[in-house]
Amino acid sequence: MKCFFLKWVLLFGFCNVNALSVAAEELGQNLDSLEVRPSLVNPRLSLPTQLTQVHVISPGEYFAPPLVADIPDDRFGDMVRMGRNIFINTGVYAERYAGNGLNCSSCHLQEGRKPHGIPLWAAYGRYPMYRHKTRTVVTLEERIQDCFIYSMDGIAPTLDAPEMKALVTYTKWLSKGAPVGVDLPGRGLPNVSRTQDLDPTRGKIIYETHCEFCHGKNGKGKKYINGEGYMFPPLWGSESYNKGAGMQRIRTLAKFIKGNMPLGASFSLTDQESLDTAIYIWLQERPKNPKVNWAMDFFFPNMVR
Amino acid sequence: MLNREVVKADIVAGVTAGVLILPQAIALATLAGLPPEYGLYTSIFPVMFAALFGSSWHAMSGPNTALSILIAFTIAPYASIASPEWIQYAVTLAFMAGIIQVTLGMLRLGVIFNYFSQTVTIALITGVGIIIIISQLGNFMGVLMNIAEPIEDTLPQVIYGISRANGFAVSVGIVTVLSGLLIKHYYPKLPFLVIAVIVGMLFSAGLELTLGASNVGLDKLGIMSLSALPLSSPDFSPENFAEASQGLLPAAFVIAFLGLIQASLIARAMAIKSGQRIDINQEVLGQGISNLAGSFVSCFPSCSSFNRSASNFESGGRTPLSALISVVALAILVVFAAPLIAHMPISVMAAILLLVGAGLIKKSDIKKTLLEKKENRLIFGLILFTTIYGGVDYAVFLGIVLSVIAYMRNASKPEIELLTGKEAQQYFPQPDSVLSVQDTVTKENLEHYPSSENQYSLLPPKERKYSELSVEIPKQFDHVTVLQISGSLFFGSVLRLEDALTGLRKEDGGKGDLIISGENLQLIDGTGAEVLMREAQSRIKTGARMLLWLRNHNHDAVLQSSGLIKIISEENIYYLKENNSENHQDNVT
Repeated sequence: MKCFFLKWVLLFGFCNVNALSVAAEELGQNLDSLEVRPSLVNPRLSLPTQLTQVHVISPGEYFAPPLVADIPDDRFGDMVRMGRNIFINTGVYAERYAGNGLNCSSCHLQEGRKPHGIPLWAAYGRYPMYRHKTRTVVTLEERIQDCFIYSMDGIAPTLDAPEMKALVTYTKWLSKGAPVGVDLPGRGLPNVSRTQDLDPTRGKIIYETHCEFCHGKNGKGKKYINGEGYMFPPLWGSESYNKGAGMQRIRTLAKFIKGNMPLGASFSLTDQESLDTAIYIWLQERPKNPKVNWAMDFFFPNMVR
Repeated sequence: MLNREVVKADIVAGVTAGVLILPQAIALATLAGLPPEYGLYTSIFPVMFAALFGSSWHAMSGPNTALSILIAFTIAPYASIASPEWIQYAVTLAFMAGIIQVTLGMLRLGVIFNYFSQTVTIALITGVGIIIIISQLGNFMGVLMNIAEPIEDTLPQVIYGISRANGFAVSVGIVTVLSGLLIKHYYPKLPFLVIAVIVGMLFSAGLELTLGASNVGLDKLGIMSLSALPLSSPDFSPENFAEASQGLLPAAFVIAFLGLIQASLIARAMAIKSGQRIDINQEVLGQGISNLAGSFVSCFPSCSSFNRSASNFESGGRTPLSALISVVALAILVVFAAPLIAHMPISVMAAILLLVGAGLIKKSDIKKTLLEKKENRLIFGLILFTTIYGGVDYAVFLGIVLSVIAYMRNASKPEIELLTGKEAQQYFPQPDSVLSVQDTVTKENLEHYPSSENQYSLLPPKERKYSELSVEIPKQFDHVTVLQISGSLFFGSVLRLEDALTGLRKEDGGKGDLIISGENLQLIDGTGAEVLMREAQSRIKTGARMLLWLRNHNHDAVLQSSGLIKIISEENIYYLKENNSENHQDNVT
């Protein structure tokens, strides 16, 4: 796996952006439509290009979402573009509801395209679905509301809000051609093995060696030079997700780290390393869980949440 | 004009108004389907322009309930709520309404809005209140509704939605409404809307602290992104405007009219209280400019607001300065209140709208207008029904038509009375007091009527004795009927006259003498004269006579042209006043 990866990193590192996109387009015409395509258009240009590409490990393995250049020039396309803007720059385009420095694309990497990076195209066909968290069947819209409440630590957009409409439209456009009700390869996050042996001190070392360069000391993240929004999202502190978010579950975070981190070097950390890093991040201070309340603390002090 | 005392009073009134408008601005923007920011912009810029260019010193402009409903129902078919297209259409509507209003003001047509029937306005406002209450019940319960659909569809939705209602949202809403009602009842001087918002938000914050924000699950308003100068412009480009033009163009007229109707009503009401003289055209122009300019700074159509104008006057505002200060106060308040407003639950806002909607249904006004006249009940019922079931725009059109009809009916309904016997006798020509047309002094007449001196006389004809003249005096009136007509006799009202004449003919067989007493006749047109002429013809044929009494010579031209004078013959026309008539003056010289 590692060998594969290194080869591709080297290959991509030598390419420049234009040549790469041309090559990818040519490839797309020749190969099976279920090949993985790079996102080609970078949401924020200051990220190194090779970090935002999807590496074709074996063509046809993952679903290939449409290219950004293929967004139609009509009202539907406008809505898709609005949804994409919100997705990659939530603090600006969904200012009304965003509560912290994260974007949707902070977790749903590469504009929601990356396999094993919680891709939108794999999620669209699975909703409405039963969720253990809420113990109800939730629609995609309701799921997005939860994203805003917990991961964005903000205010849930109402179901009829234009922001909500745009996000769902973007998801739908991104999953053009994806089958419905099928667990697509690359869906969600990769698995990590279960272990009881978690050590935040080891995690701290991994954080300092692997993560701190981008995510900064104290997990503060790194802002763009113009100070608007984060290039690398804050991992804890007031600008990060709150304690009710999915990433606050150690295993989920470990899966995410294993499948996507360090950026451009997915699957480079072992399960154990991922879990140690996850528990180190889990231990840090962050906004409180909006589910936590006095009444339940008072009546059920021992209840595990 | 501006001295220390007035400025002081204006500052107090302005700051009060600025605080008062905040909850309404947000709620009315949501009612119009726009993000709350736009309500704030609309409570800032148009207020400023209307105060600077308008005539009334006390009227305060800003977002308006009826207009907000109208905007939402107009744009709903063409855009999804609160989307950029929706905002664009709202701004374009403001521009179009502004153009129409400015045109009306320039043409000095503002007077026409004085004739809009008050009953129609009351019915419209009542209907809007009912629409607001029904349409906000969904938000009140925390249930998502299809916005801007006919009210008869919303009501069942609300009933079905009860099972899905969020109990926390309902309780927050009920606390807000109750606190508002209690404060309104026990402390009528306090700004009950503002306090209701604060109580509702405190209650919801308490709920969230004790039960957890995401367990309570209240929909929130969201963080506002305000800008100091939110530039915008109307968009008439074919790709954006063409598909919606069919709905927006007529709506722009309705919005312009509805805004002006309310503005002129408010300006007059304020003028009655303050004694200021209102130039209604200037007021119309001010409203137009405020909408026109507003469309370039992200405002939706606005007009004067009755509540705020009244409270501005009551809290001591004396000049437009108070409106300007309210703008500044609101702007400062928004900067500090914006983070708090972000957490305002939608159900609190719905509760505020319920209070606003209930405030629009003014029982005393309705009672007064219903008891005033019988036809008011019909107009009120019709307009109310149309507002709720057909939409505000249709109700405005119908209201204009009904106002005209009611005006015509009232102002022109001729009162026709048949007098016989002794009552009729007073209309018999009295030789001493009355002179006929023939008695005016002209050369020919003088030759014709031998007077004792046989010389030109410059004495007023009244002083000439009737007995001196050799005019045949009608003496024998056996079967005489007097037909007393007052009011206007014109094409719209001849039917009543014809009815009366037909009834009379049935009684006397069309053979009796007829005296038409038209001293109180304000207006007669060709059609009216013709009806009289036909009657005269048929009676003269049977040998009866017909006499006509008039106040003065004002109607001579009509009577002459219709040929009535010829048929009745001039000597049978009697005038009460000879002096004022122009004909007379001509004849003398």
